[in-house]
Amino acid sequence: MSRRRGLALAAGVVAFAAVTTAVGIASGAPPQFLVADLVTGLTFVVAGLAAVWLRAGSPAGPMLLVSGGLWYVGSYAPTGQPVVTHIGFAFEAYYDLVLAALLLMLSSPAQRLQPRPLIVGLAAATVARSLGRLLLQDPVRQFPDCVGCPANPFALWPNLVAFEAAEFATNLALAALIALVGIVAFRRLLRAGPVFRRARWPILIAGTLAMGGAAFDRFEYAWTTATAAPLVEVAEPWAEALGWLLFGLRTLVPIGFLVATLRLRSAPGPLGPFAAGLERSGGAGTVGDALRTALGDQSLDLLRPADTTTWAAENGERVALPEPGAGRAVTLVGPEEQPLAAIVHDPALLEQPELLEAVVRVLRLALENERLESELREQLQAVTESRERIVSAAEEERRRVERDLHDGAQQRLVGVMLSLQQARGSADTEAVPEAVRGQLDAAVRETSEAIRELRELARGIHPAILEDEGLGAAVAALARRASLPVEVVVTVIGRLPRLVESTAYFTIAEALTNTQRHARASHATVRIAHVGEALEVEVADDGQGGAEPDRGSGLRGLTDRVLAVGGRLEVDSEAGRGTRVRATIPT
Amino acid sequence: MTPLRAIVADDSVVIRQGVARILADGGFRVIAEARDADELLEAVAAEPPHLAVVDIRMPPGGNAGLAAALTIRERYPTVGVLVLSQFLEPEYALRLLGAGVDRVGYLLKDRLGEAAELLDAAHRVAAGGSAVDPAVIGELVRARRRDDRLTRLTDREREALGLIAQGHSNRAIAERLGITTKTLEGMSGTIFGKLGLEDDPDVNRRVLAVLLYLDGAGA
Repeated sequence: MSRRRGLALAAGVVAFAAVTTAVGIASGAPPQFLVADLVTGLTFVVAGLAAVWLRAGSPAGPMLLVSGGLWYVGSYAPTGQPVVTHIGFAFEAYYDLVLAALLLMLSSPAQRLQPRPLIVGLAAATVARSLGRLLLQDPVRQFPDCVGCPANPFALWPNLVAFEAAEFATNLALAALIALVGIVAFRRLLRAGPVFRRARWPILIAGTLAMGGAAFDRFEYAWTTATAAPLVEVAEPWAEALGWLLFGLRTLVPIGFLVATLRLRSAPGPLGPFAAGLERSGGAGTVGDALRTALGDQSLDLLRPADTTTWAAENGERVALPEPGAGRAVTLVGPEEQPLAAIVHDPALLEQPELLEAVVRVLRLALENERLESELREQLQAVTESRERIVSAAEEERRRVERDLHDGAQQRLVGVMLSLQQARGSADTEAVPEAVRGQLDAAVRETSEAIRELRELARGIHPAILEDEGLGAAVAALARRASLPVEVVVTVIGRLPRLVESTAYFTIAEALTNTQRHARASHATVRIAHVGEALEVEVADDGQGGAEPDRGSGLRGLTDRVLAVGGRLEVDSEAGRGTRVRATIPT
Repeated sequence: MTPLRAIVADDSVVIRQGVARILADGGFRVIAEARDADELLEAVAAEPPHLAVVDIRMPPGGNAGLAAALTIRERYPTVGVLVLSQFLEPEYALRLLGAGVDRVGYLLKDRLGEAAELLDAAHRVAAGGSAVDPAVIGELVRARRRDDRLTRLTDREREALGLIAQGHSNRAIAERLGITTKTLEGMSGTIFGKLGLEDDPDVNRRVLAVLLYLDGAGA
């Protein structure tokens, strides 16, 4: 029921209560009775409104409001006005029917109005009593000595014996059926799971007590009808106290409902501990534990999607979701078309939608985070591997280019040079013009120069000496060609994997190039050593420092190169204190 | 005088024949040509020549030529080995020279444009001497150029040192420098003194001493 409709219904009930109270005052009813009557009815209204507000989807709200309205119908019985008196008398206590229905519904885990025969029987007995009171009773004719008793305009067949028989039978039946409702509700409470019991005990205990009171009421009525004597002989003021007690028992239902609802709402949020539990948990099993603790449902299962149709339980077993009506509720976490998980739990948890929703929301965040994290890890792994493959392939490509240059282009150029040189030899006669001989000389020189340039180019791409003689020799060659004195300290024995050697070599080459170009150094030192499982190469100079890895593309490229093979590069280049580049390369 | 026997090994037919022609023109008798390391070793075994000219890179792969050259130097001490290389790195040359500089040469291929240079080196090696490419010696000298002792030399003395390292004879060096052999002998005494090396009348031992010094071992 929407809040607006709930408010309208409540307003109607309150207006009805006002009219009832006004009529009561007009007919001279005792004030304490009026006040008690008014307050009891309003209790239902308050609880009903609260239910409409807090449990929008539940029928409890409208049922409580309607009970409140029905409460006031009975108040017209003692007014003395012929029509309203008899309607009030005939239709009093219909609220008991609604309360019984409410109790049966709230005590059922699936929120169903069951058992059906009980509520149908109760309704039938209630209606039968109304018909008996309306049609068979006429105090004016049946009790001539009743002074001021209003005549019953609805009495079609006034008959005292039939009326009393009907009263006895219907009240007895009502007493039995109402007592049964109380017993059913109480037994359900006893048999329910902890979640359900925690959520419902206030309303079910209150309801059971109210039903007990109502059953006693009806039974006493039947008893008195049959025996013309009171069931329990008590002296004043206890008799009056007992009356008030039975009267007040009905209000336990709305009060119990309010207490149950507000208790669940204001219960300390388990989200903090839940989030902490999630944080501690690594695997699905412990997430399940955190959930069970947070929701107080030990029967709870956390399922993860295994493939498109099946689910994986916490122990890894493949399972299907429980069928509807199997007594289990399923709450999906994440988008419906692609859920991250399913929580299979006690249906009673649905009664705590705020809690469930909040827990699901936190769980969804955690699971999404977990999924993203694992995706990210996989991606990172893939990127790392592919980066290493790319670097390795580039390295292989450089070696191939170097080989092709030496064995292909350079060999051909040497051949060309030899041919030119032979032609020059043959041309060494007077018959050949001087100019041609000069051109041949120039061609030989140019070819020789081309071969030299090609050699330098090939060495820059990938020095053959690195592969042939190893890192130490290659670095010694680098140092020899440097424009400043370079001391090389190598404490590595034997050869290392190709990629390690080439990464170290190009790191040193680039660092030395930087030193020669920018550092204004007078001396540099290259150190190559094993440090644990890694190769550590260090190039240090006594230059001006101030090199910035993020600015110079050389250092940036160096960092990328070293990172690509899983190593790391440190650049220590404080202004005025020289530059030290240190690469640690895993071997 | 019987012509000197030579074997030429290079996987490129153009280079092989070109080198063979230069050698033939220069008075060598080329008795065999080899396309790879195995053929070279077979040819040398069949008839040890006075000179084997070997490409550093040959089939079956890598620097098989260098390996074959080292094998020849070890097994046939009377065979002169002249390696033709595309690598300027002195490491290769020094490995080839090993402990001795007799009957060995290391020449860059861009020298092939000057038939006279190839022949000069070939004759020196075949005659029991050494021939190291000037560019390679230049690399070594460059690496030592900041050495205090090297800076004590005059330009002329440094030039003479380079020529000694290349394996030239005293007469050839004196000719190039335009001085008398006597003057050169005096100069080399000064050079060796300044470097703290012992002058050695044996040319090959002198070359080795200079090369070791330049490589840093004598420092």
